Amino acid sequence: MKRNGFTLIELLVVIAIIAVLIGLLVPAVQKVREAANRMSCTNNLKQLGIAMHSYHDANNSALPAMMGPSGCCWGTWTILIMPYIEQEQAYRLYQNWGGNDGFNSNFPAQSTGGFPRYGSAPNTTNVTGRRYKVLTCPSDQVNTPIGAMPNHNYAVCGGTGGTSRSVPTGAPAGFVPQAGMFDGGSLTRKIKLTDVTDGLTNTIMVGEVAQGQGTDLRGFIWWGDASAMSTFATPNTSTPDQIYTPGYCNNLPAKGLPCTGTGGGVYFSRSRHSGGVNAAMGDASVRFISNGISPTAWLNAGGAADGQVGTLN
Amino acid sequence: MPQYYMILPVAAVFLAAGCGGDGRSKVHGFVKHQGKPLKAGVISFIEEGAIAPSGGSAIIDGRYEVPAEAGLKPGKYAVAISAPENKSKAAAEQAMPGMSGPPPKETLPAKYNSKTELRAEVKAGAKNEFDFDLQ
Repeated sequence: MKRNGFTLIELLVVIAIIAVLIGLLVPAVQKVREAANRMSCTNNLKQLGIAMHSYHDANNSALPAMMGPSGCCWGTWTILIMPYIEQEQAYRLYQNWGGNDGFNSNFPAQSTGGFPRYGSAPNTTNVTGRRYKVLTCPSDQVNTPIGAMPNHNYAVCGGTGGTSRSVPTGAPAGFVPQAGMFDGGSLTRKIKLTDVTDGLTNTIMVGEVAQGQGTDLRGFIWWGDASAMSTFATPNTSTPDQIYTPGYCNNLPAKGLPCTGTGGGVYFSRSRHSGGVNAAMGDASVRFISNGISPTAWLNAGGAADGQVGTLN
Repeated sequence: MPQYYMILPVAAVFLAAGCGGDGRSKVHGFVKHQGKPLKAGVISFIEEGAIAPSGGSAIIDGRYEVPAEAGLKPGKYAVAISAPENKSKAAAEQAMPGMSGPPPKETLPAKYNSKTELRAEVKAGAKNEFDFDLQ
């Protein structure tokens, strides 16, 4: 008896072979996509690095302040560098940078009444309620923790302790956090590039952070605490970040986002890239730093003038 | 027909090639304080001679786990266990995040954290389960 057509076995074998081929292809395609995303992410950091230098050149040789002299809530470095990342309009509309709840700085924009914080109108409508592409790493999952205000992916390096140079949980007795190229422990201090005596090539200026999910505030760089990262623990560490309160910490250790809501304000550098994070050094060069870097080398790369030079490879 | 089954070992080889770590191990265990599970805290593993931790985990109801992807390399570690004073949830979440308070107060004695006497040795391929019974 002559049959024309394929037997079931033959069809199954063909399907199995196709499945194996697709199985090989899909990860390859995803790798290429991630490589492209990583490149775009690296480029964002380069832009931010150059923006910091442009700001430094245009403002009496001082880097932007991490946040205003009153702290947390009236704007961070993100607003100050807006004109240097092609967001002049957003900068011009922001009100009360460096003011507080009882004093209006009328800077950069004239106040239209009251003492707006980062999270009040009109700042939310004009500036902080928007996502900025140059502040977003395409490898990460985007998230908006409060209202329309998004999390972003880049934070300045505040040194070896917490954002306000606080001592991180678990630090040994006698550990004194060192200021980085940005100093949350002394908000009125003007830091010049020449103050970075550990060497601009060896000191981290801007680092990557991963966006917290849900109401989690990691990457919420409009707000003082989360606007800086610490080099106390290595990139993508399993050591939990220390966030403001439990409600703002969404502890996801299996997804690389461990945290505790005990306060203290300590945020470590994290990314969605495989094996490490990008970081812009003080000279605006961007490096990829492996998760396997020695904790001591990474710690030393965070301090700007502590006499300990971090060797990153 | 048996030759078709040759594809299985080949596929298995391809699949296995995609896995494999860089010598990091998952570390987990249980922490008790005065006989009861430690409700909330942080555990840090610090390489000998280093200041900064190589890894750690939050402790929730006594349990902690350092996942394998961000796990610990084999070696000897000093272990610091902290139980920071917990802030009241209700009070803090009324407003938008504002001024950060001082770092939380430590509730455990210094011999478990800032001047720790606890040690653990992570071994490759072993179970790496470390339980701590704090007084």
